[in-house]
Amino acid sequence: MKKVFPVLFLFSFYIINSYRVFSDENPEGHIAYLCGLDIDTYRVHTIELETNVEKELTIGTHHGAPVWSPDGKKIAFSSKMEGGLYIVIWDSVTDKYKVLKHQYSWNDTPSWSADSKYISYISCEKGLTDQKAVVYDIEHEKEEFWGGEKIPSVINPVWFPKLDILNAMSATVSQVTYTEGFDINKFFEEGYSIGVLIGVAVFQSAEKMLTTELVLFSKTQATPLPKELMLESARFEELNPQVSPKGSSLVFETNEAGNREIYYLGRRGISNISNHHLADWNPVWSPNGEWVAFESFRHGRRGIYRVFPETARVFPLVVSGDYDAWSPAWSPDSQWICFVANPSGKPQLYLKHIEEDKIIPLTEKSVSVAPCWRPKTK
Amino acid sequence: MRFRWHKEYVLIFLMIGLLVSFFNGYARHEDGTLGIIKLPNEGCPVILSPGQTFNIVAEQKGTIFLIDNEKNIIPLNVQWEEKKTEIYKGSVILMGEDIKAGSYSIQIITEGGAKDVNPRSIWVQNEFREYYTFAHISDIHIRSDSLQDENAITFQTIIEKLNQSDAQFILLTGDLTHEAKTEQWQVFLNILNQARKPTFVCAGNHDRNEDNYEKMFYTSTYAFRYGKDGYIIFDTREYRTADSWGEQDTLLYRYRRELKSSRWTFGITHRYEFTMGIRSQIILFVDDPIDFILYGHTHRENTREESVIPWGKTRVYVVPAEKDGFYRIFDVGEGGLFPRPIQNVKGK
Repeated sequence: MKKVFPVLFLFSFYIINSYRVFSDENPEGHIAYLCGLDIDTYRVHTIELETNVEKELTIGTHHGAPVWSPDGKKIAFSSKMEGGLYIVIWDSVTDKYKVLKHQYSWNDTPSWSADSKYISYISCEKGLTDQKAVVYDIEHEKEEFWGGEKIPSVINPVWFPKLDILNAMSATVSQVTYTEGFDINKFFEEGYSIGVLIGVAVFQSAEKMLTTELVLFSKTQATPLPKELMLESARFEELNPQVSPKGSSLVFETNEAGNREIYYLGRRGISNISNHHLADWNPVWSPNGEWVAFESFRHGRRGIYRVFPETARVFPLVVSGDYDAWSPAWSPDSQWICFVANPSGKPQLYLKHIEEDKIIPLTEKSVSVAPCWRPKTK
Repeated sequence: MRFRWHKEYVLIFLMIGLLVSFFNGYARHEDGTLGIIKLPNEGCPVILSPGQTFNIVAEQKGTIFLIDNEKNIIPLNVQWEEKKTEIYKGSVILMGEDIKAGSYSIQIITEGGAKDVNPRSIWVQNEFREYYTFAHISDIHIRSDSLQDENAITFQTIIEKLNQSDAQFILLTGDLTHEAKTEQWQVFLNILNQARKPTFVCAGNHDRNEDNYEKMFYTSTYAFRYGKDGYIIFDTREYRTADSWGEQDTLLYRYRRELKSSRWTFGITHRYEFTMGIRSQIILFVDDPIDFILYGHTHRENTREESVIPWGKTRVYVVPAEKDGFYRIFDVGEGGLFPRPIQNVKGK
């Protein structure tokens, strides 16, 4: 036994040091973000972390938050140009822009399909109450309204990367109540063909008040998440659904607990995973699907936390009594986050390894917000 | 003939400039932008009672004084925080036998001897009544550098009317200028400083020209208490109304929580539209809804259908454009907010 202790000691020393060697490395890759004096002058920028070389995307004005394609080759963002707000795709390989052709003048919040072949976004003429979910086929340059005629106004549609959780639901189809006229078979047929979106429907309740509900939709079919999963959904306002990278679970915000909380929906059901009397919002899955980063005011100022959704154990990531931190974006290896904070008085980007305290400043410009880390190039 | 710089002339001009600034304590820079003191200012003042505390934001640390209308100077005790950002923040206690109800300028003399004054920035009240009144104007659209411009004359007329009214303070909800040009801001400030009531401003879409609104009033998102009630002033901007990327959502959430114990909470902004950032709407109208929202922008009164924010809990009051002669006074009491009929100084 006495011989074992030195071996164990040396082994643990090796583990700690090997970890340190790893964690002292600087993060790699590209980060896209918005930079300008304010929202009227925001433009998408990219920065290469190894060299600090930056590039500004100069098409149009009033750029929206950039989103990298899953293959790491393109960035989608909205931009104001003559006649409205357009979705623009910038190709990092060819350095060329593609402005999508729209039927409506206002288009925003792009989201990429897992194969980087389609983009979903919202499109509208008037505003929040007439926003349609649209899918654009990049290769065939074709814009299609999704969800059929019955779908109400939708915000922030995002793709299901895989249909695992939907398969789990369909396995219990006989016990689950869908909307009248919803064709589950056609839904899956269309889902396997192109994909399935989840978004937040905004509609008038019986009391003529706006309310929100999470809605699943394919090309022609749409249904609220079944009431067996979302108890008393009509009484509360859900927001910000985020599907796990493997498609096996879902997190979203709701005020069901009397204040804004992060809820987790998996094969075993639904649970509150943030559980604090101050607001918790903006959940973001780590690419490895293990963690959910979110923002919370639980220590006074706005800070960033991570939670292990299976156990609801919460760990602080960036918390300070002197400044606010928000908009976490995970690195592709799930070891770092890029985030926005205002210790200098103006919002700037910072980097942090999830296991270390050290915070690395990334930008020192007028205002830098809405970071998005480039996925590994495929 | 070529102009030549003479060292003596330059020195004389410099001396005159220094003497003028020393004796007058010039409040803002020549272009109208804020000087050393950022907050409070005449568009974002403080209303409080003796013994209460207020916050000051300044470029440099220094000694703080109040100046009353008779030019009496009252020193105050300020506790400066350790500098964490580009600016200094301090906490000032309103203590002194000479402090009586009324309006005061705030003055700073920095450690380096520089001086700055913000007029009409501190308003002392001995008590806050359960029942009080305030005035709401919007869409002033100062268009030129002349006080004789039609919109400037209308603004002066309404300020004179409100000076004679029983309103305790005036809310000006955006489009203060037409193009946010320096000369338009100077005319606006000139007339604003004729008001004998506290004036709280917020930014409108016409007041945006890069960051010059902040250079004039420092912040477009702030909150204040008046007696039992809370007021949250915020910015909805042009095109992307109330985005979720910057700091405003943090401030809105913080102010909403701080004012949660208020009898009534008011949202004061330039516009409300369905397209406004969803996070701002969730904070203000859904999770912990404010009671009332007052705005302008549309240049007309709200219709019956528009009398409640569509999320269902917050009542809406829109005032037509001030440039067309309109203003409105509200009564506030235990029963809520009671609008008086909209008034017009142009006979419309």
